[in-house]
Amino acid sequence: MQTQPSVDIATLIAAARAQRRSMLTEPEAKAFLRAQGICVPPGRVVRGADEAPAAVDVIGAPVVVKAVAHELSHKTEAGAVMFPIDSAAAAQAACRTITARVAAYRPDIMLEGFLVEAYRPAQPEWILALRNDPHFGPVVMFGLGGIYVETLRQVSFRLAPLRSEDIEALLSERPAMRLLSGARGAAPSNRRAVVDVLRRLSELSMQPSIMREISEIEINPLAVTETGALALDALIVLRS
Amino acid sequence: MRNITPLVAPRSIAVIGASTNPTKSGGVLFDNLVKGNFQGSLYPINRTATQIMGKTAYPTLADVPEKVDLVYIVLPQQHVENAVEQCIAAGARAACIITAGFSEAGPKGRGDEERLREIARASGLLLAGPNTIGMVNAEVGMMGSFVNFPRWKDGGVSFFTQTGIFTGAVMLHVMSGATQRLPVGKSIDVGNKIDVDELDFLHFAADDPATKVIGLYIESIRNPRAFLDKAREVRKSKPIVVLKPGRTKDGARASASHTGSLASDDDILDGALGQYGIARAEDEDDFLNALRALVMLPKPRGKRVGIGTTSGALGVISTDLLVESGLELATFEPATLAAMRTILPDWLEPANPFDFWIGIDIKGPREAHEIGLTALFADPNVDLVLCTLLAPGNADFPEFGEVLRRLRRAYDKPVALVIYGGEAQRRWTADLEGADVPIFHTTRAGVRALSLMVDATM
Repeated sequence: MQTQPSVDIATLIAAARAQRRSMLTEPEAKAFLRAQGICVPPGRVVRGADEAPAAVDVIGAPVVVKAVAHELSHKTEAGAVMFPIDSAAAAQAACRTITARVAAYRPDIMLEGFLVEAYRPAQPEWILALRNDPHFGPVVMFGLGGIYVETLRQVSFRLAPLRSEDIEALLSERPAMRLLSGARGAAPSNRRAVVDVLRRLSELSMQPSIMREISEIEINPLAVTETGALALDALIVLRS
Repeated sequence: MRNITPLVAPRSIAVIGASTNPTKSGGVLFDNLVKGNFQGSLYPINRTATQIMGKTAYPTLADVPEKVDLVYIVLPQQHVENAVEQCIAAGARAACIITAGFSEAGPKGRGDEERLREIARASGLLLAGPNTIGMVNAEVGMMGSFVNFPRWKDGGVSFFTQTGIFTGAVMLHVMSGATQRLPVGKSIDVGNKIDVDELDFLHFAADDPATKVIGLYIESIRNPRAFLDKAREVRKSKPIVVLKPGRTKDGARASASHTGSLASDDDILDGALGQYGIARAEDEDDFLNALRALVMLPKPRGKRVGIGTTSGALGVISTDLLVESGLELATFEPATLAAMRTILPDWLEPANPFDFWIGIDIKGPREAHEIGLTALFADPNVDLVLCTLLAPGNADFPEFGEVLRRLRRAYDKPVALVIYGGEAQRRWTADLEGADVPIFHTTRAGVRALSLMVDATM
């Protein structure tokens, strides 16, 4: 069983490139985010189903179990994400179910292991991303995430780096964003938590060593509660 | 940065393809240049004619006695490349290719255009076009276009457009007098935008004393970061309105990859324009209305709107539209309300929107308008004034134009005027010619103009 250490992004990227991968795995991406001061749920990477119960004991139920594999980008589609898992035994069973589902979905994919993470609901789900756009350069995206990204189109963009007023404007541009500020009793801390993550993504855009390597960092969903913001899923795509 | 003055404000012009036949393209364009009273020297290039429309013609560009600033090329597609080479050989500084049939026409045209670009870039020749109706600069009398603009005068609006005939059609409309004339001084259409682009134009417009407001119709931005950085600097003194169609790129969005890269360029551009303080018009009506408001009115100090109306319905409609567009309703000062009460019956309490139709019955049209609108303009909480007025016979009075002129001068606030009515509407509009009070044909148009004005200046 491995914990998720804070890591040097250059090392992660070099390893991924050596394996000819186009993206980092979710645990790698989350380790990177943590190193940037962006919170992720407590979790452990386990190699096999047998290690899952111990992870649940450390983390505490309920948990979410996700497949970890190099080229598995559509985890939900593959049935490779299961939650909420209420017990150690159920986590072990979930690992086996996921193994079978991924084998059926893409027999060519080799599972590296499983990510066992504390289960945190996100309502609503937010999406935040830093993209290295070929035409515009670094841009930050923010909006309503999860399955609503495509259907409701409550997302907006700004060129990075962001000034304070850019963040303010970004957080009030679409009607859905009112859910963060005032609507339905949302606490001001929710809004501050999002502002903080946006600032950190914006700061990354000013680091040439990172922007040279990365085409996109996407957090989807980001859960926002009064205690802060948590990146529940994260994707880092390398520049080709 | 390049200086595009030889292209957009030339001291001398040659026209390759100038024709004695006024129905041919080369004839129309040359005729317009002659009749537009171009202030510099004008050289028709024609192999056979000795004179065209009173100007000495030359068989080739090399025969012209000076190195010209600008050459218009009005020739069949297959002769354009040779003409561009002539321009370079003769030391011309810029060329505008009117001819169509390049990148808009398929792979062969794209190849031809790419070659022209390389030839020009290697020599430093500034290129506009191909596939353009041409360029107009009233300041130097350059009517280098197919469309002969009526009532052309100098003006503070400078257009840069990446299109074919659109500019011409729009010009005919805005200059026709069917609506209030939009004071356009320059209209530079670069067609397929082979070389000179929006960034070059911004640099020119920034340093051009006659340019007060900039309108860009663009379908692409060659270098968005550099353009936006320059635009942010220029907008401080010269507001910029962009009309860029292609907001609904379903196709680009549908191709969202596994990375979730769901943004079409337009989503990003939309965010960036707001971020950099550039107003984005949705359609040609929006575009012209925003430019009309910006060129006629002072910069707003805030976004609080005072509505004066003689129609309860238009007052409500205006309120919805302005709140939806991000503007705010002003809260009137006690002194304002007191002044408003003097034209209303006791049982009616004034509010924003301020509907004073009934005041016309009580005080007569002149006094009702004068007192009611003065109160509105004078209120310190009112940053922008929206007047939606009805002009049937009983609301009409001969001094309307005079009253509005006085208010416009006395308070120097942005105002949008919407008038509904018959004969009086036409007279009110005519009486405000030159008063710098923009008049809009619908409430929506008026509200959009104020809202875009705020986007472009605040």
